[in-house]
Amino acid sequence: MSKTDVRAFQIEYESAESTEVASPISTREVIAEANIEESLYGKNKPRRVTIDRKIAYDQDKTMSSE
Amino acid sequence: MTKTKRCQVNKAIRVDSGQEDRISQGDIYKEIEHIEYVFEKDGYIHYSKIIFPLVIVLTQDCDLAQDSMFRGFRGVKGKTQDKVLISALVAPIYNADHVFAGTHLDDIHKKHLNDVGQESQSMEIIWPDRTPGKFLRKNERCRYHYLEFPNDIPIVPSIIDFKHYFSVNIEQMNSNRKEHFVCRVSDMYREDLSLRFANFLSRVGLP
Repeated sequence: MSKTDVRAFQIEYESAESTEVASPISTREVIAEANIEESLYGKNKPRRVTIDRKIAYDQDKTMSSE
Repeated sequence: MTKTKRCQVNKAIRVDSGQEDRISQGDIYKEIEHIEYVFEKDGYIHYSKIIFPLVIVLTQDCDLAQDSMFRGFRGVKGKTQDKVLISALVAPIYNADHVFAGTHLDDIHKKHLNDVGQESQSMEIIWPDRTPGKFLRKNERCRYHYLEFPNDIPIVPSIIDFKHYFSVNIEQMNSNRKEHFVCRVSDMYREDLSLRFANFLSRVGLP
């Protein structure tokens, strides 16, 4: 893909994305969601999260640092 | 307006929007994590954290102001990091109704059966209309600090539990400050809070 093709694709992608965001319905939904979240301040209880995760060793990084 | 409602409005504290771009004493933050433990064993990393819905900053504001200033000196020739803090002290803020019902830490403490085979409460019940509850709401129990917020702040009546204070890494808190910041308790109320916390820490337990 040439540079011109990439730019054309970017413009097409960005304009498609901006149309979606600019929709008045989605804006209202976002505001409603924010209000719901705000009204919940102080209503939740503390919660515990416990995680056991395998460490992914990065061999290449170890070798390059050596 | 009923007598009770008028009483509640009078009790409401004042809050600021927090224009200063740094952590301050009296700041209220949401979704703050407290790391209980982290260790590595047999190629696995194990960690446990408690996520508190709301916390309030208790570290002295002058210390936080100096920390913020001296942190900016990093890498500047001839400047030290003498006043940089390791962490900030915070205390959790619980929903007052949950505290009165003794259920605010139900998701943290494991329930167990008592002598008569009943499931025990994780925390004691404080009857709000009896003396212990009334004392708590008047801020006469040194462990707790009762707060009511103005109408424009969407926080229910809450209680700070000084006994559960913990520390938070300042750098990490600063990096997520805007997402977690809720409001800031105004000067006079935070002075009161600071004094009560100092009083709690320095209390003498007499037999």
